[in-house]
Amino acid sequence: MRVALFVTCLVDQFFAQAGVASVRLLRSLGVDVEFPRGQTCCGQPAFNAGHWDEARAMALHTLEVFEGYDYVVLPSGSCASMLRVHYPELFKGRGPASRKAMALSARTYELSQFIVRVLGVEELGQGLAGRRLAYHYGCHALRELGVEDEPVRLLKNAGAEIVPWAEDRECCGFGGLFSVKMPVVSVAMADRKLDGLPEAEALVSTDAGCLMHLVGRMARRGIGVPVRHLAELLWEARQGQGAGQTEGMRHA
Amino acid sequence: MPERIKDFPRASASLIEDHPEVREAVYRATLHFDQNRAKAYAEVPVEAWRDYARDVKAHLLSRLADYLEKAEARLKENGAEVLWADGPEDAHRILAEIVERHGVRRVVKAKSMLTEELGVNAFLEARGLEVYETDLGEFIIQLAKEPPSHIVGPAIHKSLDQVRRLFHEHLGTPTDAEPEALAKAARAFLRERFLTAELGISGANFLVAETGTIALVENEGNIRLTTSVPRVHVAFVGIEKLLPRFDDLAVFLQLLARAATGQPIGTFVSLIQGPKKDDPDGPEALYVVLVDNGRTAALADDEAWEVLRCIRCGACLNVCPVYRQVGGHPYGFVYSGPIGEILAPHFLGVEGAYPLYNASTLCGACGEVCPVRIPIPKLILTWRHRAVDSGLTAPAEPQLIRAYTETMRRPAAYRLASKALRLLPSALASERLPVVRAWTRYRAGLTPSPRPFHELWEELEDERKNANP
Amino acid sequence: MSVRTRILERIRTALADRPALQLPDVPEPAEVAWEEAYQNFAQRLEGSGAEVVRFGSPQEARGWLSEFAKSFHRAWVSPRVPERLRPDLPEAEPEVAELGVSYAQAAVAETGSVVLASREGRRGQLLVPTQLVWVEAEVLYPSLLAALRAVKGEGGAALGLHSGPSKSADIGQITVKGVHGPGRLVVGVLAFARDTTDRSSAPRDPVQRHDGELKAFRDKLKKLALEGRTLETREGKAFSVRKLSETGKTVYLELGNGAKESLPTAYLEAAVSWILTLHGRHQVGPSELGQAVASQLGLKSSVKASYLWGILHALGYV
Repeated sequence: MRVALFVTCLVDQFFAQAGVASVRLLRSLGVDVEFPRGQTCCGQPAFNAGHWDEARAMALHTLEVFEGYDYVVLPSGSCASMLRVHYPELFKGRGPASRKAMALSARTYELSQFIVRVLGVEELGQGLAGRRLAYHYGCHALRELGVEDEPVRLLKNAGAEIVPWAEDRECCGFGGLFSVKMPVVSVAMADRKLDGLPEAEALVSTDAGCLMHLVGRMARRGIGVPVRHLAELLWEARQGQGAGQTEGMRHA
Repeated sequence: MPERIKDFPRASASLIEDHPEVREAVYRATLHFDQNRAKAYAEVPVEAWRDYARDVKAHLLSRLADYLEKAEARLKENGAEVLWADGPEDAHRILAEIVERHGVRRVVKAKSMLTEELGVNAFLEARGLEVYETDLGEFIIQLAKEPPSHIVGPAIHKSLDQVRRLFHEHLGTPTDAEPEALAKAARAFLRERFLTAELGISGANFLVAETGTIALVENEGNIRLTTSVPRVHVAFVGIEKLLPRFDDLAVFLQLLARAATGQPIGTFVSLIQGPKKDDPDGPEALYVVLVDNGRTAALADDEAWEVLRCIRCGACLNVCPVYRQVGGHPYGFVYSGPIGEILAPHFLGVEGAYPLYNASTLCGACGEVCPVRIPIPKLILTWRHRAVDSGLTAPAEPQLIRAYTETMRRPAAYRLASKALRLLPSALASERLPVVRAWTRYRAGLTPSPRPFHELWEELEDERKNANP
Repeated sequence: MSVRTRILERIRTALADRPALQLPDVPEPAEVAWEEAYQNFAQRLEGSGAEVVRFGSPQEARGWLSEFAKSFHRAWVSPRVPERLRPDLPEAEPEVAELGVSYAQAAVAETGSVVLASREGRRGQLLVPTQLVWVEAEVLYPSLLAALRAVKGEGGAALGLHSGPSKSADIGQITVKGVHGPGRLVVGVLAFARDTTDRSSAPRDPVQRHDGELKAFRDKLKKLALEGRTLETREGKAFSVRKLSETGKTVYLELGNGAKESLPTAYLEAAVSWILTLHGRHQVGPSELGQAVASQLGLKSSVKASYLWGILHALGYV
């Protein structure tokens, strides 16, 4: 089984340790994960903003990089959804590229989804015993990929408590270029979400975009809850009791 | 109107920053609507109903001309007069003739989004007629001289105190009157109008082609009064409002109510079969105006026609996180929220509707609740794509996107950019770039990881080799 | 070119290259026994702020009505309401009446609705502050679909479904009642003169046989055929009974326009049995009659109800 990690550009640049955690976690589960060196960005920001020609150019590149793997795993719901849901649309009726896009779509999984659905693993370890976490359901993971239960189940099975959060399924307001095209609405959405944030040791999500936006807004508002990528927590879960904390998202 | 639409970013920001009370009222109301919807959906086989409703509407639209002819024939058999309108001008001309013919001086109106599209009130008022909106919410905003801010709850942006002040000013109620007393005052005021108006104007939720039945749904009873008491009734019906069969009403009436307010059915449903025949009362004349106003153009749009399935329930507004922050007014268009974003370009063109379809994070919540399964996020994307094709972007956006694309297509360029990001840490904080400014004005700036993941990969490979020598 | 032609042409051009899509079947709701339907009906209506009262006998209904009427001074009463269900109050125009009394064309358990016909007068259904609606057990349908099928084309120029008191939450999201329509809705369900165990499992005969009377009815029918006099449906369509078949099982009709129709005698007999069971029930409309017959004989569709009614009307049964 050849498994490729598509670390995604945001994780690569801003959550590098989540990439590291993803690799260690997958290896610990017996997956000899590969890292195709040519990978860059899936093209989602351009696609969502309507620049489909450009998105297609980036997608063509990505199709090429990930050809030949049995699975492509992404520590990001949104980017996984770009490959899984939108690539086939983007290349509809475009011959060989369309076939490639369909094939890649069928092989693409978000990290927790891959662990639970493909590997059939639900128990990673007890490394999160007693940890109180708030979980943000990223919209694309939730509604486009149908990743709802998987991340939370893995966290809970590792001993974590997921604190009740009425707004946990509400959009954080990031939305790619929306966050800079309509920044006031974007942060109003973040604020609405954060106003209800319960006391927790960390705010966790599988989406780097959402996390980036939330961490930026939380820092500006002086909300001290650390923001962590799901992959890091899952790796801690795997390591068992007393694992050291990995690096969280940093902000200025 | 298009001028105001362009203003969305500024208008929405100003609402959030300057009118927290509106944001709060809208948020509370929409959350409440949506929670009720979710409960109401859970009680019925909603997924099967949504499939059915989607397919009925899709079928209807695929044979729309035949169904319109059928509906027209039935309506005529029932004794109604059927008229056709391309847009506001036809509608106004038709109304003027009716007003003339029946000596109308006073008009009562049932809530109708189509008459908002057509500017019916302004037209009639300009001709010196008295026009009264009779839905309580519509009445409130008529007093406030505002357009509706929500398809179903036109005045949800108004707090109790604002309504108190309005009613005090116009109806003389005390400034601390309770909602019951306010409603009573409105009832008394409007009851007099119902009994003396010569003309009642309504829209239609559905028009059954098989029987020529007009179905209207409401909670207050004002629509039943509007269509029963005055001696003339004019119903404006969008041509997409048809249903093939009388039996189709069974699911559609329930689905509409459940999606809109979470009720099993609207408190009052009128099924109008024509003007009065051997009835003791009811209007002597019924005019049904079938209105296009951009709908045939939408139908001809192979990629975006699905918006015509819309039954105007407002569920997508209630669940939209953007709408929830700002309400309907900043959209500057008759229809707001997700459905407004994909209706506006059909009415006004891709340029006229710019940048409404950008007012979305593509969170997908709207598509999940739509009772007729309109793929709203997909259509928003379609309009964004068309906007870019028409050169409708933020300044410098195409250049930035092109530079970013060129970087991402070439791994070497990507790596170089990655290095530059770390060598020039101020690059991400440069307030000279508008994109960065828009980010950092409201959020802390971003700091990249000390080393990108792709540079850590070699170490991870070593780690693996050491573990399995 | 007229606007109409333009619009239709634009549509046809738009659809020229698109296939006609399939029309799906209407979802058929699950069948529900009468008692369960009643429970749903009451629960839904009460959930939306209406009051529901159930009566086991005409005496009970009458007794309740005289108490209920005491809190009002003037009432508008629909002409459809049978004598025994009319309150002992001075009658008034809807504009000034404190109470309106209606007689439901149908009722819907699924949605908690009463279906009111414009033929009884709409102002009386809408302008009064309190509305009392009588619902005969036979016209309570488990689903909206069943009810719509039963009332299709009936009741006059308009039907109104009322599913609770008039309400609005337009003022600060606070619900208030009685905004325009009646602020109080009371529904009296007349749950007697029928077997209430199961409405849907047909054929079943909750109606007693009235063999003696039925023989008399058959005689009257024969006479009617011999006389050949002109009868009328409630809608005023003229027709006549041409003859009975050799076996007596079919009645042949001749319509005003010369067309021929036939009607199984069993339908007429079922209707007569039903009317006789519901003693004193003269205010029966064709649709109720048709429904009663259909449900007794286990038929799905309508049963040429208007001619049925016309014959029974001529013979004084309705």
